[in-house]
Amino acid sequence: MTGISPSSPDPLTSRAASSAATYMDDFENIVAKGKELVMTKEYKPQVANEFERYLNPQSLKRHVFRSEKVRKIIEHYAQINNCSVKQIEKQVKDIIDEIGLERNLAIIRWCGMAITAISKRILSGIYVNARSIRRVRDQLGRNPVCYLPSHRSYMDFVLMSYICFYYDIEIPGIAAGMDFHAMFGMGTMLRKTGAFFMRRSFSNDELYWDIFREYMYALISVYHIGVEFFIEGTRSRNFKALVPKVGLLSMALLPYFTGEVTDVTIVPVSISYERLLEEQLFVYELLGVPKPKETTKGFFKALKIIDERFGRMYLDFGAPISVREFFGHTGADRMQRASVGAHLQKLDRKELDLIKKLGNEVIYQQQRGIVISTFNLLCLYYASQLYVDRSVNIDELALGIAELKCIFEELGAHVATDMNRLKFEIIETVEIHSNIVHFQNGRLQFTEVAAAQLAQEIDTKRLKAHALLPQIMAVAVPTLALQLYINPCMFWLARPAYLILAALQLQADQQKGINDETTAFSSTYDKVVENLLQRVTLLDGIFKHEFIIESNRDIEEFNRNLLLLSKHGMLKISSHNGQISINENECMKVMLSSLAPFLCVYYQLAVAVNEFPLDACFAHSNNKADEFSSKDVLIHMQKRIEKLMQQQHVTNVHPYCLALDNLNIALNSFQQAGYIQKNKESGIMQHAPGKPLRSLEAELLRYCQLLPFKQYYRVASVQMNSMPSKL
Amino acid sequence: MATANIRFNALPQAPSCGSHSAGECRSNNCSAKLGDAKEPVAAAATVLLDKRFSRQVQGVYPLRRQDVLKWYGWGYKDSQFYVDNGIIGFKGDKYPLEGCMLPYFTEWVYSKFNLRIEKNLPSPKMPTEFPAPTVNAPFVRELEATKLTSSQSGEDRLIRCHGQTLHDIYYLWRNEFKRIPDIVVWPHSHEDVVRLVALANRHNVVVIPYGGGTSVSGSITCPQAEQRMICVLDTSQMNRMLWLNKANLTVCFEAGIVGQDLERELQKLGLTVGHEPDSYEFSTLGGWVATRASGMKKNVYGNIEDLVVRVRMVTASGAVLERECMAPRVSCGPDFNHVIMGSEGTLGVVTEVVLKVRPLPAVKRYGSLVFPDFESGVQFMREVARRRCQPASVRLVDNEQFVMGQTLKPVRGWLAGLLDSLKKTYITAWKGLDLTKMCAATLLFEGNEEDVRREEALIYQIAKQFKGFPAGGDNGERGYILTFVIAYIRDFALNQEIVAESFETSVPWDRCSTLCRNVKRRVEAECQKRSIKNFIISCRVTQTYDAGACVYFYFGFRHTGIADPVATFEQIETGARDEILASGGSLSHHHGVGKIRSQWYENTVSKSGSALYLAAKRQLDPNNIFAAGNLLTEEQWLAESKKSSAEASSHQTTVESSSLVKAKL
Repeated sequence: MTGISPSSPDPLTSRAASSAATYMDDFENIVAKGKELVMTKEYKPQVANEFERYLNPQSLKRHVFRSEKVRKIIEHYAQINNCSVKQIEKQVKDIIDEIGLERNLAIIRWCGMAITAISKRILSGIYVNARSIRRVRDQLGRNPVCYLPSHRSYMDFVLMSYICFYYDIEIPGIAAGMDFHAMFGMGTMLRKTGAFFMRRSFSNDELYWDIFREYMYALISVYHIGVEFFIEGTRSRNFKALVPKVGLLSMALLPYFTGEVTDVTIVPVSISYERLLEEQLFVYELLGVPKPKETTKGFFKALKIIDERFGRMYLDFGAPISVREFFGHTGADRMQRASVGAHLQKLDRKELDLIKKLGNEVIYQQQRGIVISTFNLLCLYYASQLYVDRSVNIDELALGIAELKCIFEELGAHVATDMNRLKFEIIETVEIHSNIVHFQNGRLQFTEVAAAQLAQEIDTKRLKAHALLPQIMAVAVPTLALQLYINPCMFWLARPAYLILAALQLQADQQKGINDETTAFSSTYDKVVENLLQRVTLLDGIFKHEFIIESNRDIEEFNRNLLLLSKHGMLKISSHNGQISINENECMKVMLSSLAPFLCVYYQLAVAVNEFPLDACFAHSNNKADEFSSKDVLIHMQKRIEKLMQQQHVTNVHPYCLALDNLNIALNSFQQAGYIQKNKESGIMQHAPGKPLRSLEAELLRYCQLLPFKQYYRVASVQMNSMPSKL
Repeated sequence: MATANIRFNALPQAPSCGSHSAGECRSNNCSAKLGDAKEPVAAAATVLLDKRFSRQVQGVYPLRRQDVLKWYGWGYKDSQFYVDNGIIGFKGDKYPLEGCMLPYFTEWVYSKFNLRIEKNLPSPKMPTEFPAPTVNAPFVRELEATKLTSSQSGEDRLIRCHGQTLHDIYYLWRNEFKRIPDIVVWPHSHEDVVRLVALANRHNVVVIPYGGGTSVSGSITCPQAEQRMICVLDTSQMNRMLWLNKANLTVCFEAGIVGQDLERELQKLGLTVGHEPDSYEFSTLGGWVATRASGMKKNVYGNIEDLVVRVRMVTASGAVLERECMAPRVSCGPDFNHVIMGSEGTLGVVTEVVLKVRPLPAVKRYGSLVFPDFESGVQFMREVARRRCQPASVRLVDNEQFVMGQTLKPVRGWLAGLLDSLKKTYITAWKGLDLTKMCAATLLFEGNEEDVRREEALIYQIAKQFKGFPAGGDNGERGYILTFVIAYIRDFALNQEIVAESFETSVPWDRCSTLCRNVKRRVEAECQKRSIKNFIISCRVTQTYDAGACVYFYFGFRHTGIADPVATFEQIETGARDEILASGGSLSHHHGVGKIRSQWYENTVSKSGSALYLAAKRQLDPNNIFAAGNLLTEEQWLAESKKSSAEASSHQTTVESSSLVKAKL
């Protein structure tokens, strides 16, 4: 692997830890007293891309309508639909009007005032990395710019626009879903603050997408404000990154490939929340309670949240990425495309692969920039203690969090925890999250959810998969909520945890096979390291859709993790005979615990899928005996887990096994790995011949058994009589 | 944007390591390979285009072209000259002369050739037996796997073994070709061509690109001594309009598009390329490029080399030669477009061409001028060229052709007849012209009304200086319309014991008149030497340039009693060509060298020139699979193949010996 040039700061070595410690100093609270935005200020923003003459939203629409491409598209559709050009022109005009953004500074100012007021009320602060934003702003003006924020909450784009206004950056055009457009009043308001609208990608109206692509093309190539969209496509219900969708990104990059623009600047934006506004919605959605439609009424109902506290929000701009540099293109590489009319071109497979790599890089950089809050560390630590059935008090928590902060900073994370007021922060954040945890008799406890109330409020008939028992839900809800806040840590922990797991496995193998000739493969330091790398790569492969940590830095990260583990005395490999010794200290257990829920999910799902074809075949489905749908699997899985959770002393079951999103991701990864085949049209699946899922099941079970944990939840029956709590 | 502290490694061109998909790369730890040098293959990749904007074109002839076109001669099956009651007539509803009886022409034929045509002779019958094919079995097997359309039928092979020279047609009628193609393949796209050519190269199969089959230089005639399997690559199925760029006024067509199809499609859009060689009803874009074609209206639109913006040629290995830029002019070393143009199928296959287009002119008007003699006509042409005021087309025909042109008129009513005789009287009596010396120029003006009027005024004013005067639009128009019909006379004549053909040259102004005179004298002398009494030799100046003109000769004779009329014709034509070269003319203005003029090629381009051509040939086609055998003589090609096979064997021995050395070690 090519090394990172010596002049650039190397984030992957522990040297970064010291800079990580001071990194947070650059964050400023922009709603702190005296710092608030005066919405009547003169707004003289730096535009993303400077031109001699500027278009306005209306002339932009005209530009799109008159473009050579759209003319050709109109002719094409008129011909294939056998209708007049006028008719298609009318349709195209309507589509452009539906998509097109507008701008009204007055509305922006009004919205800003509302946001300031609400923020001051429900938040402890909006913390923004002023330095990184200024760095981006100083470089604006030369290229089209794509701002790509992480997407965890609807707050994301509100926050982005607000911050752009605050720091005098031109508010970019924001790709918004049509469901907002349908909200009464909201659509117009969003549009006037710079949103342009996009129908859901599964609508396959070709003409529509042709026009949308062209609009995007124009936004990038001839418009000056920059574009903002969410590369993950949708809010992650899990508070962790999703596989990047490259559709919008490739539309936005087409002008680069066709040679209309010299470069496109990508700005990864990381937005993190101490407490997510949608937290409870997400938890219930994960269990199968359908997502409410975005309505204005819903919006006002959501305003009820102003009575609650949501702590801090953090926003950071990553270092801008020049796509030309990222792709390593020279002029000669791009010459070929430049010799053909831009409007005729499409991206080919190779270019889409490049864009996919860029997408992964963006997700990677977004996650690097996500600020880890005290509550994230608290949840991580609390869960690890829970798995060994130990309760913790505030002192133990503080100790655990302090140690984790060190590890995370060594890994390169930005941790918000202020060591000088750690205990105060713990109390404060537990207070904010009192719906999940609270202190009882000085010890941290789950806040229980009353099963009876759940039974009353949730219409079990509308559940997406299996109709779960209320008492099971009551166990699952706080556990899943806790997991939401652990998940941001996974970006940092997954690979070190793989390494620990691999080491445990290899150690066991070494012990088992002392007289075995296979020990020869692990008799020297180098061979052991290589063996560990292989095992880590295997785990990487299993979870690559779960943790989006792909980049071309695998080897560096592996070496860094190896160094970290040995530095902290967790792992020792004898340089003499390659003998592995592991010190199962607290810190190692915490890291390992982070992987436990996911290992359980994948293992249990493999078991569940392997039970297909079921004896009692679903009466309603006409499937052939060996076929099943993903819904069949989800229902069967939830049923199974529900049953297991009612029994005593069941191993390898975590309430996370009920989380539909994760199950879908896991199922998809089974399919991608070739264990199951899926019919592209019907979506019906069956076991792949020649690649038995049983082998994966056995492999996952071996991993699960290496974990030093007892049980991942408390048995449901205990819950039935507990106190009601707010939903 | 400065990105000094970016934390990524730039990705190389090839996104994956090549051995597996990008997704798998990571898990296999081959990310390190991403830094490797670029694969050379990447350069050959083509830009992916939106297929919806390319246009399928309904071609004038189908895959089985013999359903529409004559297999034994020129043009459409249903169009030909014939005799009825001793009078020559023409039928063919695609032409304005359709259904006309031509008594004056019949008279003219009698006066010139002493020939009374009494009966229609039957046209030749398609043979039932064909030369046995040479089959390269592994090639054929692999070709079948590619699913490319192909045919090994005798008929399909025979009709593609030749062009339209007198020689070709004469041999065809007598079924005397020893060697015809062994297989015909119809690729449908550039990619198909790449696949086919690479396959042929691997199996050492000869590939002859074949478009409209209208060559008059022998360039597509099957090399009769070829031992290897011969595959004709018929381009007729690759005739899409790939794109049109209105901003640049450029269009990209696949090379198999036929001239009239191309013009029809563009004219629907209000555009024109304006390239109209006399063969444009049947010849293809690829052929134009490969032969350096010239069109009647080159004064406005330019010759093919002026019209081509970019051309893509597939070379023997399947690699592409193409200028990677659409800019209007470049200073970038020798222009390799000019290696492709005029390569006559010997360096590769032209697959896609970007051409300039122009808006259709608002006004199109014909005109004609009459001059007292040919010399004044040439002086007029020279003056027009000097003043660079050429209309779209200006042609000067000699007295011979002027007279013949007048006979290609249907029977006139008494009024028209009266008017004609009045005109004749006006010209001879009033203007004092000699009917046996006078000649005419035909004119075509294109542009908007104002420009055309200005051009006309100027041309007529210049004509006056040389004692020329306008003779009406009708005469002009007939001249241009007859262009396409005259091509049919050759086959009719051949059946009536008359062999006739045209040849052309280009010449500097100062030698234009003398060249015309010298060639005519030489042909007359050659005929006399062979006791040929009934012949015609005529010429016309068809194009003007700053520095010279293009001259076209028509030569025909009645061969009754001559043993080998075609050989005789060729001897005389060879004499004429010698005279042309001696008089300062070129080997060819636009027909190309092909096989019939290859004996002069080396002399006209110099020894270094032909060596340079051979060097290019060796580079682009080391196995000589594009063995059409043009430009150089058969002997030269033979010498070349001996040389290269000797080289190859010496190379082989060194490889063998080195491996032997290794084995010993």
